Amino acid sequence: MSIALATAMVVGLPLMAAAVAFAHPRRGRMATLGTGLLLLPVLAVLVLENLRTGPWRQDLGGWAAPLGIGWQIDALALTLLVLTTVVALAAAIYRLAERRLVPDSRQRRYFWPLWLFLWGGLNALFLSADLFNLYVILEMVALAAVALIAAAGGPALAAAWRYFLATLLGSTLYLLGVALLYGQYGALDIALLTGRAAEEPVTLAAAVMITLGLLLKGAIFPLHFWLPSAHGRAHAAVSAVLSAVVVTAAFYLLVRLWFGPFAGMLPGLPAQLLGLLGAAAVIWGGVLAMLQRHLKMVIAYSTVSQLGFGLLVFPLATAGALPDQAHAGMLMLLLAHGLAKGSLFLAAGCLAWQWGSDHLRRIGPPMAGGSLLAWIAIALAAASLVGLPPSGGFVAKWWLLESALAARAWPWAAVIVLGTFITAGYLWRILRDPLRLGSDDAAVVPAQGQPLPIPLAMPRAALLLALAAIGSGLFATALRSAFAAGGLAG
Amino acid sequence: MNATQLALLLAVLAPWLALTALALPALRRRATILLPLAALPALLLALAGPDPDAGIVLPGLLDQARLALDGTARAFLLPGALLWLLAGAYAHRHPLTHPLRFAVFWLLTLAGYLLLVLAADLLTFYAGFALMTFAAYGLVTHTGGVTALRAGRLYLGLMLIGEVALFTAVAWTTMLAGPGNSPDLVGLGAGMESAAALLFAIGFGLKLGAPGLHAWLPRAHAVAPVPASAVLSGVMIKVGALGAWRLLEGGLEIPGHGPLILTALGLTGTFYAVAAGLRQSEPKTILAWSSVSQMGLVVALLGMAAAGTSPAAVWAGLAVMLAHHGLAKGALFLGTGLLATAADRCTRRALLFGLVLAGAALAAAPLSGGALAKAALTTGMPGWLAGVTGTATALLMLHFLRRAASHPPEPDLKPTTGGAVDTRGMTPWLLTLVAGLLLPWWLADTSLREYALISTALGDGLWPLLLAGVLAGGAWWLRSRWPGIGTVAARQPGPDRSAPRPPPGMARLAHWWTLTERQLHRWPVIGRVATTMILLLALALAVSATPARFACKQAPTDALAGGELALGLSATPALFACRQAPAEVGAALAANGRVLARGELPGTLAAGCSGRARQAECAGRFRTKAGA
Amino acid sequence: MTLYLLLAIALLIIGLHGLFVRAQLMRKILALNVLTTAVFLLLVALAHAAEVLDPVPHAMVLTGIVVTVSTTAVALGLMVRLLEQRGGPANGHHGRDSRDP
Repeated sequence: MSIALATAMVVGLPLMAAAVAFAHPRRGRMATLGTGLLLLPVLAVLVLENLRTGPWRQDLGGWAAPLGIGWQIDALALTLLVLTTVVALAAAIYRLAERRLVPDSRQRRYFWPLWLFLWGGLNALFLSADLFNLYVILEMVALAAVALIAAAGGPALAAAWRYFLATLLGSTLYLLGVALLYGQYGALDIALLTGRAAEEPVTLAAAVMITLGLLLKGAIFPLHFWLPSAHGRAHAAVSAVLSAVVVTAAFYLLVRLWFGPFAGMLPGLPAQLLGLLGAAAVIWGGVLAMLQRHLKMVIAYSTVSQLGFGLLVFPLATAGALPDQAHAGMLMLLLAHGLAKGSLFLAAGCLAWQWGSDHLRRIGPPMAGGSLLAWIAIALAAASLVGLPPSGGFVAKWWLLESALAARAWPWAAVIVLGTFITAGYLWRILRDPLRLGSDDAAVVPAQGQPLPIPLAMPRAALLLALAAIGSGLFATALRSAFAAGGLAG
Repeated sequence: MNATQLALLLAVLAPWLALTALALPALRRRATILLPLAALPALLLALAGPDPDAGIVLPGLLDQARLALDGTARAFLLPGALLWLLAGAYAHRHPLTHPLRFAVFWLLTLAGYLLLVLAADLLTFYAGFALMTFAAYGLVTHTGGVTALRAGRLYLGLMLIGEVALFTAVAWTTMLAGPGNSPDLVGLGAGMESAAALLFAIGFGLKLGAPGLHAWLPRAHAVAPVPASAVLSGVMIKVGALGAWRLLEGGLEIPGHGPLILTALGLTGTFYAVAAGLRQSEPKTILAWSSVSQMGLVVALLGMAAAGTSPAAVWAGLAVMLAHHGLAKGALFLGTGLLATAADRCTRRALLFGLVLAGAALAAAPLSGGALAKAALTTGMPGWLAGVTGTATALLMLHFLRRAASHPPEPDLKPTTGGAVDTRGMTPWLLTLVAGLLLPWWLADTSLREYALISTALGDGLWPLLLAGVLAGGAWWLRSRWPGIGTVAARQPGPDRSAPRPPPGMARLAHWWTLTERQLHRWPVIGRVATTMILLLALALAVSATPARFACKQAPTDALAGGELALGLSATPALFACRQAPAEVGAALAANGRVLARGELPGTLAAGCSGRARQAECAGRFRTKAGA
Repeated sequence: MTLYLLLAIALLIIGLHGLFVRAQLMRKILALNVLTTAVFLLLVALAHAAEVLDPVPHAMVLTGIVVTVSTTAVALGLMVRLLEQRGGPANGHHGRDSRDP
């Protein structure tokens, strides 16, 4: 297979499948599964090529950069592409199984086209190297995500509305920044801009606007206002993809730009400020996760908290001691967090189906007849989130902490350590009740009787993601060398 | 791959294979039968003897996870695997609330233990450590009662602190060894930074229940099911000693009076724990305090090893001590469990006799394993001090025996199957007892054996016991003469002493937190927050921009340039005619900085540059640059 | 040139103000439209400022308009659904019903 074709397929397949699913709603299910299964070998080809030759760039239609649009393929992009495919596939399997539980409805018809549209948009986002192209893709992803959130109906509509306003504002601010950059340097390509951008007031203003827009889209504290309700109220499968990948995508762009065109401006205060935001997010989101009463809300706030760890990459990578380790840690964090978060949301969806509510007090312990697989998935994903070895979350924190310790950056090291305690605190809220298995404590026993039976594929999809989260840590060194060979950002 | 390597792999994988086997429904009903089997390969491996050259590398896993059985590992593995096996066999007979769940957590804990003992590199060790620690939570809280859950919560909280301390220490060590690499455990301690060593000490000390960090130990051991208590006390807490041993053996140097302090701390803990244990009435709690006391001795031995006084002898003594204490304590716990269910007089007598033997061994009676351990102890401290520790232990053991003998059989633990249940679990218990008495002799080297067998040592071993007997007899006599003397008024534990009562400020803090979060969700507040963030980002960028660009020496000159431009927005339109760029920054600042009144910008300016002339200079230079 | 820039800034401020302060759903949609218009104005002004007339910003503005039309359509659809859900009339102005959730 030619590499150019493979790259085109990464974006083209989901979009074409979306068109098919839209035209023939009955084929939606096949189109989705087919896309996922076809994307896996395609990505494998790209990963192998990347390991062999390192990062490369592909100009669409043979048009070179100032005029045409380019795609860049490196370890950062490929890792996130793989993450997207795995999470989207698992969530799709979950959703397909879940559909046996709900009666047919009108909205069902548009679910798969939107899903595939989102999928294709995310894939394009991770590949594209053109700022304006990225704007269009950001809008595309945002629209699909809003529609998918709204598909849950009820309170999700209001949440979708908030998300919609926030993400549109973010896109507009981003576009404003892009316009400023173009006005100054006459280029939209990230690589070209990296060469041209200098520390000038315009670049500064553009960086401010773009960063703010992406912080909004990435739900970084204190602009996280839209995330908990949107992710907490959407369908579990949608929440999984949103929390695992869509938020990560905004974060990914932040990394691309700050270690690309704006790299010269990063060292010093800006990096510290971004790190400070991350630290605040870790603590703020974590404490709020502890205070939630609904399982999905705990998980949603946990996303706010976990992305904060990712922001630490800015001060740590500029501290100079072990920048590669900080980058690798950040990438590992995105990967492990995405897998674990997807698993948590899917498992939470299973439990919510079984017990009729995702209120923490209403969910019965595993021994009460609920899905044991879902609980195992939650336990494994929680182990990864909190950073128990040998999970992916552990490896991510380990690398980040190494980089912080090497730079003697005690405050950031303290944030990682404190964040671990907070993470353990809110995960304990989830796992506390099921762990008191033999307890005669009446408060734990759910009010209603037997749990609803659910198709086995639902918890299995969650378990698959949880196992991937653990497995990504088991092969840490291999991944580390793959990152190095594939060209990490920076 | 030779036989040893295969055995090594099999030993580590056995618990996982057992877990996989649980997928069979037939096995799931009799899950506990797998417990002794899972420890068998490890025991066989340990019996075969150490072979540090025959390590295996698991390529790709973690950082080339390495497994090996060296002398140190074997010193832990042999008694450890033996106790896991015997306690597992006992658990198979023991009435459990949820056999399947118990088996799953047991196997996970065992898997962690075997991994960490056989690990040859730091990461593998740490992974096993974490797995064992957190899986043991399921064992501690198995009964699911309120006390068990509270004890479990304390256990989990303290273990989390220990785990995070270890994690930081591991990251520190690997960072120095080459980022992302997992260094070998052998020779790990050499040249370690003292802060990292301290973090390791916290992690290992918490696990060991070292004096001062022992809060979880008596409570967790008292609530766990009997076989779980046996392995917790007999095997798992000693993992902390393994970690410390690895570091000290690897050349860790404790500066200053550290070793002396460590020894003193250990001995203080030994006596304190005995005093605390004497006030308890629950036999298992007394045994747990005895474990704290014995771990104090282990800490003292580690301190002596760190001081460098005949380390070889100390290591040998420590190995004997760990083996002897593990098996004897295991026998004591298992015996207590049997005693609680046995109603038959004859059986009770036999059990009590066995408990007396194990207790005497713990108290370092002559010819016991304890005597061997004490022989090692005397290499670094005066003989009388070692003797007094024996007296203290003997007192605690007498107290334990009295309580255990008078403790009525627990009705709820009694299995309902009736008849022959009394002898259930007798065989594993007897085997543990015999192993506890014999294994130390086998493990000890000849010099230690000879030392323990000479007549003076026999005499030295006897007087502490006699002293303890006299003291106990005196106490009994006093008590019978004046009833009420020495009895501590039963302290009301108070319903809220360990109840989950958050500190009073917490509720208010949580309330404030939620309210603030709700505020952050309001659109006008979001607007203000976003504006503030724009300003913050712009300021940070402007301040940190290289001063050279604008030829002004002070760092904040870039802010100055931006500010000057924002001011100039209305003043000098000519500036913008030449190029739109500066206008944009002004636009950005002015448009989005709605909160920032125009008047504040000169303030920023003044802060950035001291003199008015300087401002003009800066602005002027920028203008030329922008125009160019 | 300066005039256009000033106009863009003014529109930006109006848009942001409308989005954050106005509670009615319809006004928020309009505010977003005003915001994007400000950015388009900026782009067109930039194209004008270059020595040779630059076609790229024009292409960007055209694409942007297409994007804005579709986002506005989705926004209106969502708004209608929201208002229907609350049981009020779906005409979107006045009254407490159209307040922001």
